Amino acid sequence: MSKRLFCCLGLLVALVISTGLTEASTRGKISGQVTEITGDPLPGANVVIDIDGVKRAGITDEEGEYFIINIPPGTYDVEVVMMGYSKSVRTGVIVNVDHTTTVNFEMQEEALQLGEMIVVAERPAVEHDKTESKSVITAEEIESLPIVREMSDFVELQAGVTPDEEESVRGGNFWETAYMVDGVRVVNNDARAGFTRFQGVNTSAVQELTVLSGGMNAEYGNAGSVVSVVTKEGGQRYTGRGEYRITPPGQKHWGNNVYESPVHRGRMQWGNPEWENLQAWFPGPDGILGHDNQTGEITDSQFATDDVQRKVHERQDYTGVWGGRGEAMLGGPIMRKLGFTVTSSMNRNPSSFPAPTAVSLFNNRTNLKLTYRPSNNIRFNYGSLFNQRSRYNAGVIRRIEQGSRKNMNSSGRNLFVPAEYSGAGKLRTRDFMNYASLTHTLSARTFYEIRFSYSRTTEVNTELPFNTGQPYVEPGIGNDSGWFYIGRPVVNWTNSERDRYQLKVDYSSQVTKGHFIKTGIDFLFYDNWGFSRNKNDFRGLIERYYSQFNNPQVGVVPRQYAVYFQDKMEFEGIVVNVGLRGLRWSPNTEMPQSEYFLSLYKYHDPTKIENIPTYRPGAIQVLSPRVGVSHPITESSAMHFTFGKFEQIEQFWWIFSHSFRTEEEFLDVNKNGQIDESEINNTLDVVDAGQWGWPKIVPLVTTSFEVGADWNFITDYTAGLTAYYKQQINRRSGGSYRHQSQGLQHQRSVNASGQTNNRDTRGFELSVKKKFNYMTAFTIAYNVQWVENGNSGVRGHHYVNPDRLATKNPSNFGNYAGYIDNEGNYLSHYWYEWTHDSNGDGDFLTEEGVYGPGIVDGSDTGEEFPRPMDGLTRWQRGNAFGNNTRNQLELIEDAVGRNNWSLDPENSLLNWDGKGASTWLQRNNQSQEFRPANLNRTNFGTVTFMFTSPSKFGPRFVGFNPFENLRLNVVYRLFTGRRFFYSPPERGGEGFYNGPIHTRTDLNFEKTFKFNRRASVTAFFEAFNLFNQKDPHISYRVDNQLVEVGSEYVEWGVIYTPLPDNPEYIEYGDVGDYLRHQDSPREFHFGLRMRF
Amino acid sequence: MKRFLVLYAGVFLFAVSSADARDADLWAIGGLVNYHQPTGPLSGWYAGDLKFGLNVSYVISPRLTTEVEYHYSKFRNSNLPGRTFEYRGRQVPSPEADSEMTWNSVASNWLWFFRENAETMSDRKWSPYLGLGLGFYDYSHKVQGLIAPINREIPVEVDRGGVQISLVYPGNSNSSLDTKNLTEAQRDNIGIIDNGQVLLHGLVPTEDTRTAWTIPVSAGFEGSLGSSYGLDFRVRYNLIFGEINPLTAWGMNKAFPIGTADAGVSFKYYFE
Repeated sequence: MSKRLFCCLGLLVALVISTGLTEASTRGKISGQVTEITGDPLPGANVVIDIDGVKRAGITDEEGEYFIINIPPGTYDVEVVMMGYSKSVRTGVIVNVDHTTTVNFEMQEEALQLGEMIVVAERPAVEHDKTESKSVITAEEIESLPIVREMSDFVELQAGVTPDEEESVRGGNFWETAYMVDGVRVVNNDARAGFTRFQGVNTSAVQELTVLSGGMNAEYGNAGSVVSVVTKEGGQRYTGRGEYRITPPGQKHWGNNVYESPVHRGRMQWGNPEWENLQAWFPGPDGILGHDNQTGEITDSQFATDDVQRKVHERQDYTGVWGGRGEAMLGGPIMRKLGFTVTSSMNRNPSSFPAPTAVSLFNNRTNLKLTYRPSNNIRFNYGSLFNQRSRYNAGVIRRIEQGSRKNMNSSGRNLFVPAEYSGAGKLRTRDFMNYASLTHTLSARTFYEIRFSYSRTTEVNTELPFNTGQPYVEPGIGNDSGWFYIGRPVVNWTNSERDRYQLKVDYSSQVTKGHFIKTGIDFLFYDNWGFSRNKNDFRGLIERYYSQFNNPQVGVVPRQYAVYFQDKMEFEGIVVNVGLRGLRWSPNTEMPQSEYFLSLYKYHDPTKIENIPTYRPGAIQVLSPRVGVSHPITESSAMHFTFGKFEQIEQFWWIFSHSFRTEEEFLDVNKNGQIDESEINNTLDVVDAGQWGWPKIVPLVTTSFEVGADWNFITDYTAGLTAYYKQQINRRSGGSYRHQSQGLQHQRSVNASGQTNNRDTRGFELSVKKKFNYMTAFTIAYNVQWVENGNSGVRGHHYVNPDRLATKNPSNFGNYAGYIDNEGNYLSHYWYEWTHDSNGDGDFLTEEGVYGPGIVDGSDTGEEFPRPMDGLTRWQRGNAFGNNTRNQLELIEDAVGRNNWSLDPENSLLNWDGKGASTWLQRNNQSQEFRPANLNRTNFGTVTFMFTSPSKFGPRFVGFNPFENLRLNVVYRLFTGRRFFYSPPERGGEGFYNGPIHTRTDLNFEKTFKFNRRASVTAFFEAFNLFNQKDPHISYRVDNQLVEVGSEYVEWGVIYTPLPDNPEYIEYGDVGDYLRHQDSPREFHFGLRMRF
Repeated sequence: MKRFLVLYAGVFLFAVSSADARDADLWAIGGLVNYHQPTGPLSGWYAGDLKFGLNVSYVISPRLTTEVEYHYSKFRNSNLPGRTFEYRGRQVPSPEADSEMTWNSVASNWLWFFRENAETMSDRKWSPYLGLGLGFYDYSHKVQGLIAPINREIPVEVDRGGVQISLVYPGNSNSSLDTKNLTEAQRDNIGIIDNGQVLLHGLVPTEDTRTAWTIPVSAGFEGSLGSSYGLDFRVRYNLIFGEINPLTAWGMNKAFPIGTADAGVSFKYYFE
C-alpha cells in the first residue's frame, strides 16, 4: 500500500516538475450553477470575473455548472453572459483563500427582460466546505475594526487563541504556530523563542488573514496552528490611507508617580536641597571616567575632559511625554500591467516608567508588493517585508537588572541611572524578507506557482560602552543611601545572523468536477549563526553559541525538504479534504557523538571542544497525514470533522546551541604574564552553563481531532461549537547529562534537552457572529480549555555508557568498573583516567585531591591510559556507586528495555576507547502525572462589537449631519488566571485552582467626513481599558522576591493585600502597587485618518 | 457611576439608531421591580434581594422588540457574618465581618413574541416571549471586618499547650498592642505571641469591582392593560463574566462566572 502511495507521490512530483511548477494557499475559487428561470440547467454560459482589470472566465457544462479557480481573495463582481439571455451580474462576491464560494445564477430570456439584472451577493452564513476550524478576517473587516491595529491583535481575537499577548492557539506555545505571508513561511523557529517572534505585517497591507486553529491543508506544512496572510495587490486605481494617532501625556502605570512611590520608602529626600543638588562626575560617551574619548588618553586625574559633572538625583518627566503612532498605505498602478502596494508604520511609544529615552527608539515596519500581469494567464509578484526595532539593552542578573539602565526594575534602584545610558548598549533587531513568485494559469482547470524567498534576521548590539570593569560614576557619590544604582557596566551583547532560502512550487488543478488537487514541493535552507556574551556577578561569564559546535565562527545549515499532496473532494454537498505531507529534515552538520563527552575535562572548554569525536546525524523523515470532512446538515447548518498528525521540528536553539560558563578569569597557562589568544576562554566550561543542543531531537508530534458544527440559527446570526482534543508527544523537557567522573565526590552536569514531556489539550470553542446588518455586527469567541502536561518517563533519549549496560545485575554494582570492549568482551577492574593539556600547576590543580587517581601527575601528554584500581578503591567506589546511583541506572535500563533501544555501533561509544566514566541523563519529575500546564487558562474569550451609521442617517443641523458616518468599536477580552495547585491546610478539596480573571474593554469612536465617493477624513477617539479595570498579575517581583497568587488567594482572599498592621504599609502604603496589575490604567488616544 | 452613564448613553444611542433603521413606530418606557436571586457559588455568599429598573422598548416588528434596561440592585444579606475559620482546632469568629454587593447594569435585550404585537394590544391577550440580551453589569463586592492570622503556623510552645491561647482582635481594647512600642524583632514575629496571647489581625477591606459583560436570557409574557399600557412578567437568568474572590477559610467559594436570576413585573407605557 505504502509503495503504491509513494509511486503516486512520485508521479505527482514528476508532473509538477515537468510542467514547470506551482503554488496555492493564497487563492480561492468560485463555483455554482447557471439555470434558466424554469430551473433547467443552462450549458455554454460564460461566467466572467474581473480581477483588477484581468478577466477570467468559466463555461458552464451540460449540468449548467461552472468553476473558476486561482482567484486572489477579495470582493468581486461576477457576470454571466449568454446569447439570447439578459446579462446577469452578482456584485460583492467575496472570495476567501482555500474556500469555494458558491454563486448561482438564474437567467432570463431577453424577450422577457430588458437590460441586465444586477444582484448583490449574500455571503453565506455557514460555509459548507469548511473542513477545519478556520477564522477569516477580510480587508473590509479589518477596515471596520480600526481600534485593532496590530495583526497579532486580530489573531488574538479569534476563537481558540488566548487574548493575553501570548498567542497560544489551543494550548500550543506561540512558536508552534506557522506564519505565512503570501504563501511564504515566515520562519520563527530558528534560534530561540522570543527572539524570532514574527512581528506581523501592517494591517493596512492585509487583504485577508486566516487563522487555522485545528487542522490545516498539507501545503501549509506541519504545525500546531497556522496564521496565513495574503497581502493586497495594487489595482488599476490609486488608493491611499494615512493615519496618525496621538497619546496625550499621562501616567501609564498604577500607583503613585514612581518618584513618590512607597517602594522608595525612606530613600527619597525631595525637599532636601543637599540631596536634590548632589552632583557627581559622569563619564562621557566612552563610558569611562578619566578616559578622553577624543584623544584616547587616560588622564592622571580622575576625570577626563569629556566627563561631565551633573546632578545625581534627577527626575525624568516620564509622564509628560506625548506618544504617537503612524501608518500609511498607498497602492495603485505603476504601468498598465504593473501595480504596487506599499505600507509603512512606526511607533513612538512613551515609556510607562522612567527609561533611557522617554519614547521608544526608532522602529519601522514596511511592506511592499509589486504585481505584474503581462497577460490574463500570468502574474508575477514581488513582496518585501521589513521590520526594525531597537531598544536599550540591559545586563540581566538572574532576572534582575542592576544599574545597567534606567528603569523600575530591581525595586526602583535603577531610577537614577542617567538617561541615554545603557551599560550594555543598544540591541537592534531587523527582519527582512523578500520573495518573488510566478503564477501561471495553464487552463481553466489548472494553474501553478513558483515562489522563491529569502529572509534574514539580524541582531546587532550597538553603542556598547568601552567600560566594562569600572564603577560608572565617581565612587561613593550618589550611592549615599546605599540603595540606588547610578550606573553599572555590564557585558550583555548579542550578534546573530539568520538567513533562510525557500523554494516552493505548487500545482493546483480541478482534475474532475469532484476533485481539486494541490501538490507541491517546499525546500527550505537555513544558514544560521549567533553568539551572545553575558557577564554578571552571580553567574560569571556566559557565552552562548548558535553555530557549529566545534567551530563557533561557522553557522549551522540545516535543510528541509517537503512534498505534499492535497485532494479536496466534493460529492453531493459533502466535502472531504485529504492531505499528506512528507518532510525530510537534516541537521546537515557535524555533532558530538554524545553529549557525554561534554562533561569530560578533556573536552569541556571552547579551546578543546573541537577534539570531540563527531558524527553526522541522520535526517529525520516523517509523513504527516490529515483529513477533514464537511457535512451539510441543513441549508443553514453544517458540521465538520478534522484529524491530523503533524510532526514539527523543534526550535533550532534546542538542537544547535551550546553554552559555556566561568566564574574565573582566563588562565595565564604559559606564565608569560598575559592572556594569549590561545588562552582566551580557557576557563569556560560547559558545566552548569545553560543549554547544550540535542542533535538527536525528534519532531514534536501533534495529533489533533476536532468535531464542530455551525448553525445560522436566525437571519444574521450564526453560532459555532467545536470540541477539540490535541495530544502532543516528544515535547522538549529539561534534563542534564550527569557525568560521574572518576570518583563519586564530584559530578559534572551538562544541561540538555530531553523529550519526555507530553501535553494533552481538550476544550470547547464557541463562537457567535452577527454579520453586518442594521448597522451593527458583533463576534463572540469563547473557549473552555484544559491543557495538561505530563511526563512519560520513557520517551526521553537516554545515552547509556556501554560499560553500564554490561552491568547486568544491579546488585553487582559493588563490582562496578567494567565495560565492553570493541570485541564485545566484558572487561572489569580497570579504571580509565586521562591527563589534560594544562601545565599541571594551572587550572585543575585543586582537583587532584578531589579525583584521587584521576588527574594525577600533571603530565602534559594529553594521553589516556587505563590503570587498574586497587581493591580498596574499587570496593569503595563500587559500593558508593551502587548505593547512590542504582535507582537511576535501573530506571535507565528499564527504559532501554521497554523501548527496545539498542546502541548504534556506528555512533556509540563502543568505538571510542575513552571509557571509564558513567553518564546518564538525569531528568526531573520522572513519569509525572498530567498536571495543568503553566500557560493553561481554562476560560478565555473575546467580544468585538461594531456599530456604523450610513451616510444621510439622522437629522441635519445647519447643513451638518452629526449622526451620519459614525462608527463605534468595542473590543472586550477575558481570560482566567493561570492554574496553580492548592492544598487546604486541614480540609479536603485539594486541587488546581484558576488565578483571578482579567478583563479589558477598549473602545473606539469615530466620525467620518466624506468629500466625495472615495475621499474622506476621519477623526477618532479611543479609550484603552475603558473601565479602568485593575486586575492582579498572578505573580510579580518586589524587592527581588517573587510573589505569587496561591494559597493565600484561595484561603484568605488575599491578593498581595498587605496586612493592616504591617508597619511599612502603615507608614508608606502599598509598595508594590505600581507593578502588581495587568494592563495599564485607562488611556485615551486621538487621531486623524485620511483615505482616498 | 460616571462610566456607567457614559455606557448607558452609548447603548441607548445604539438602540435608537437600530430602531430608526427598522422603520418601526412603537416605543415604550417602563419601570420594573424584580426579586434578584444569586445562583451557583454566589448563592453561598448572599440571599436574594430586590432589583429596580427602567427600560425603554422599541417594537422592531410585530414579533420582535428590542429594549434597553437599566437595573439597580444590592445584595445586603451576606452569609459571611457569623462564619469562623479553623485555627488549630479552634473556631475563630470575625465579629465585624460583613459583605455587600451592589449592581448597576445596562443591557440591551431582544424579545421574540409568540403572538404578534397588534393582536396582543388590540385583543388584550397575553403573549409569551423569549429574550436574549447583551449588556454590561457593573458590580462592586465589598468585604470587610475579616480577621485572619498572620502566621498560619502555631509555634511549638503553643502546640504543646505551654502557652495559653487567647484571641485578641484589632480594635479590641483588650488587645492593648501598640505596634509602635515593639522592637524590630517583635515586629518580625508580630501576630504570633505577645505576653502569651496569639494575635489575629484584621484584613484590609477588599472590593471586587468590574464592569462585566453579561448575557441575560429571559422568558415571560406580556399583556396589555389598554391601548397604551402593558404589563410584563418575566424571569431572567444573567450569565455575568465576572468573578468573586474565594474565602475558602470561611467556606465562601469563588464565583466565576457569576450567575443570578431575577423574576418580577414591569409596567410599560407605549407611544408612537
